Amino acid sequence: MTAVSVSTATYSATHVATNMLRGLKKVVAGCGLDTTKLTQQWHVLDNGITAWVNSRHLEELVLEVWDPKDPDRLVGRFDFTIDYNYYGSGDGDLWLDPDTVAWAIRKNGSYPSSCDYRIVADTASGAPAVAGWSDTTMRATDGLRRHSVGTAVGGGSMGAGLSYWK
Amino acid sequence: MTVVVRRIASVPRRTSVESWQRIVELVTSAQSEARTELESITAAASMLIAEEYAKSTPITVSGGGPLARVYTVHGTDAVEHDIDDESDLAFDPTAGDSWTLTLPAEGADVEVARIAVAACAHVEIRDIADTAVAERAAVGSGGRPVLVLDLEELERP
Repeated sequence: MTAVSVSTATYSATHVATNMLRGLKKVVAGCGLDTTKLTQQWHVLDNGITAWVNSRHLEELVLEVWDPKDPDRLVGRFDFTIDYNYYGSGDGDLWLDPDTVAWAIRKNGSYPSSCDYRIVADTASGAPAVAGWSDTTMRATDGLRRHSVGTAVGGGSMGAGLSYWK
Repeated sequence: MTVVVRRIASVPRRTSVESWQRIVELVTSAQSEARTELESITAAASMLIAEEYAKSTPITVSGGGPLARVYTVHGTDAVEHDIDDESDLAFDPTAGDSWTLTLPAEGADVEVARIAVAACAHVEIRDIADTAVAERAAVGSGGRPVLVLDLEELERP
């Protein structure tokens, strides 16, 4: 039997990590892209994101979208940016605002279904290694502008704000 | 038919991956082919658990004895969940070769999950919408409404 002995802070980290990933899945589907790739990687993504929220190394969780015909040029991007002190008291309820995610999708619009995507975790130095993840460089955001739509996920002391680049 | 129900604490008590690992542990014996088969679909099964489909529509295992129904518990309910409610089964529902495990899904996730489990002979994805239609049809057959007492629901907290 799997032992379960974790603190409230861990519950918050798991809640925020899971719901950021669910949020990006909604973005992928809502923007007209295929969620098969994300589903196939779910366990690796879940393990990494949860570990780095728990250790407080995750700064941003990023969805990069590009056209395979011009793979170095970013077509669009969504960011979940974590504020680990969103609630000073640290006792914020576990919540999710699907309307914020839906609003970001609506404002961004769809991508051509031929576009490819990946999820990148922007972590602070010293982040623990997680199986299945490797170092990379993010694509430049030249020509795109960042639009914030507000905080979409909260729990414990944490809040995760959502932005899209267009 | 005898039905055995278990409720497993999921997010945020466990991650979606840990939740699936616990369910696999519950319905398979160690080092069995069934465990290997179910571990091979961890990605898709974890995604479906994260989407909370099994919160109200159970994962089922049939063919290896009594019907096993496994629900996942989420949010505050998961935090307050009594782990004693997750006790091991007295039988192995995936013994032999005639068992089938179904995972509930909805919308676009049905097709994505079906593709992901296509190589697993004992795993099926169950469309929650079809289940609801079938249940309504069963209740409505005969031309007049029939009340069905769901004893399992009465046991739920």
